[in-house]
Amino acid sequence: MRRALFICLLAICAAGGVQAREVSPAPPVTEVLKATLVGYVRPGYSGFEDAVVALQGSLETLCAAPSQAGLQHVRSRFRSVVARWAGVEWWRIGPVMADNRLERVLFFPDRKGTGRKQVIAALSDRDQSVLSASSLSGKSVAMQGLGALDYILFGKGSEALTSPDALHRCGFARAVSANLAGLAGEIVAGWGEDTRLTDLFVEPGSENPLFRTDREALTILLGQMIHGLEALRDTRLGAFLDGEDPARDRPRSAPLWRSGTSLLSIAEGLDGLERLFTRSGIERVVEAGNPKLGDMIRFEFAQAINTARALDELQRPVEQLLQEPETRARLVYLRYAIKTIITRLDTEFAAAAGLTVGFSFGDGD
Amino acid sequence: MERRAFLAAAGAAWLAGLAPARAERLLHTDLLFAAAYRDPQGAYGVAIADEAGRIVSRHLLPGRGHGFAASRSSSWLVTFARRPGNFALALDKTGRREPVLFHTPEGRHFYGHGAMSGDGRLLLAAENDYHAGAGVIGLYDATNAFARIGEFPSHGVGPHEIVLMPDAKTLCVANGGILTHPRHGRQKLNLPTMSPSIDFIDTTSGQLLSSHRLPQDLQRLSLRHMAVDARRAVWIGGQYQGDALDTVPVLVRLDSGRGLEPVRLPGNAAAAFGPYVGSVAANREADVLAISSPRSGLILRLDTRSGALLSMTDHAGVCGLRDAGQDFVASSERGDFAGARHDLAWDNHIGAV
Repeated sequence: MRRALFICLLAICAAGGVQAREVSPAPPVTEVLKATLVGYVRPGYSGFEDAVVALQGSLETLCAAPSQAGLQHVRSRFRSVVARWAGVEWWRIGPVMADNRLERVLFFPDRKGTGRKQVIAALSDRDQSVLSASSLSGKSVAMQGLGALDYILFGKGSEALTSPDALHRCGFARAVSANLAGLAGEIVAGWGEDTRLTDLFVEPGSENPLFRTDREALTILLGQMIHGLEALRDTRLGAFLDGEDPARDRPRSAPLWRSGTSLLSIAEGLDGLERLFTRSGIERVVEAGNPKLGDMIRFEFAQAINTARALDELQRPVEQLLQEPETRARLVYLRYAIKTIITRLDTEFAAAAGLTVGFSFGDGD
Repeated sequence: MERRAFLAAAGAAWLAGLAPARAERLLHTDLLFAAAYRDPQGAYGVAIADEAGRIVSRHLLPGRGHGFAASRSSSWLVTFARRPGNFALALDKTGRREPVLFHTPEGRHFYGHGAMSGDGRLLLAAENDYHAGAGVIGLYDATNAFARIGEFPSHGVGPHEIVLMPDAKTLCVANGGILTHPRHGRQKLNLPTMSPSIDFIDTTSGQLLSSHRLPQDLQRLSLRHMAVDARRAVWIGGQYQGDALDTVPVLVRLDSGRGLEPVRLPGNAAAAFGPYVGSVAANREADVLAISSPRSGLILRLDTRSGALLSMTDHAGVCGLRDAGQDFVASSERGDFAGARHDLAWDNHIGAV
């Protein structure tokens, strides 16, 4: 009896003490989600897959007939793979979150240099088990993706790839690219037509494990952009640019520095997030109240993207960018420009979309 | 609980600085709570509120606050910075002493949670030794301006909530398993290899008494928040770091001698709630456990004796939970606190003062 009464009391408390369910943000978030899927997610992963396949082809050629031209071709294909991956890397929904796929494509930061050490050991031991994608995919995540290729194709000893002496090294690179192709294929397939994932992705619902409400979907979508920008600033730029003291810069901690793609990956990462913002049409949810906000955010994205691109186009090692006061100042500005976008999304945009301003985005900690 | 007795003392001191209406309110209050907030101007602080959500006092913080440490045996209420912050603020509940702001030493930061020792003389804090990538429990002397006097290993990575068990001697640590480094902000650096654990540590020696892990297929379920029920079973809320389409238990229970066991929630409740617990609170008098999710905006209440689900309540943006009377008070990032509404975004936890 006491129990029944108690449960009854709980029910009354629940009804009286808690506000009514929120009104959904209008217009329907479903349209935004569909546009995200069709305009950003699918083309982003397909572009990555295409770039990986092209890299695979160039490696086949190089390994069959090593040459200077062949190596140059492979290296340029690698740059494209880095660029395409950076454009979707910050999207953290779907197959990338299963089977460690995200980290298998690129494990960064690798603070203890685990991947580098494993790659060096495999090269010097002429380890046969790194020559096939199937055996490689079972190894440490740090030695089966872009970080491994950065070392194999650009690190110490990579010049040997122009001669037949480096067959093992070339075979390792080929296995990594085949592994990446497998991962890309799995991710693309996971987002294909009529998969459970895509059905769920466009229809928030009370028992939908991705988004229970329109509001949650919008929060997660905006959260992808904000968390991606934070990560670009904190883990990528922050990996080599010290917050205060140039003497504490760490050029050798820059992402993929051997291939000189650190700034490329940051620029493409920003560009990908801008594409997510624009192609999702998420600004539709705030247009009525603030029609210019979307353009303002795009302008701020452009400032950051242009800064990163211009630094990438200098084609200088990160070490040099950090040493010269003028280019270091531009890196500092880049960090500020990213912060500006974060603040705009986190405060003004969130408020205009009816979301909680500048706070957690569901990150309860 | 001798809350009235405490309030008589706390009241007298605090009241001196309060407007008459507030003083009146405080004197008629049974329970007081603490919660960190962010105000509309972006300033951070910690507020003391009564069980109706009326704010008794506010204290500014240098950054975003998170969890608390307080006990009946201590007159201090300590608010910790949210990770990776390095400050903590101790407020004297009797109002006789000035607040004490203190920091972690170089090479450490707080994870946002802590506990007072049984005798109230020591503060224990979950911290990150980020050069080593290992969790530690920092020890601060509550009788000497919170001077840091030592530390012991948390026996895991990323210790989050820590609670002193009812024996007043054993510390239960939720080692969430996620490696972070302040250089990389709040980024999670080790998801493929994370290995969360619940560890019991003797606070007098720092010795590990027992360690409990989930099976490998739940390796990405970060164990972060917990509460101890009347039978001393520990209920731990997880935050799943894997594929959102995976079906994983979000709540696990640790009973002495039985190890970690997933708590089965009815299918619709599990799906609606999602794989993310923001706070866990136990009401030992009512034998009820509550868990919240700011993501799905739900509070679940369970019977701690049978494990049965008692209720599922909508509450947009909810996270903070604390037992009060026969039920709980809750707070949300959107401003509501125990039924009242404020123009403040509440952080994720509510402490009992």
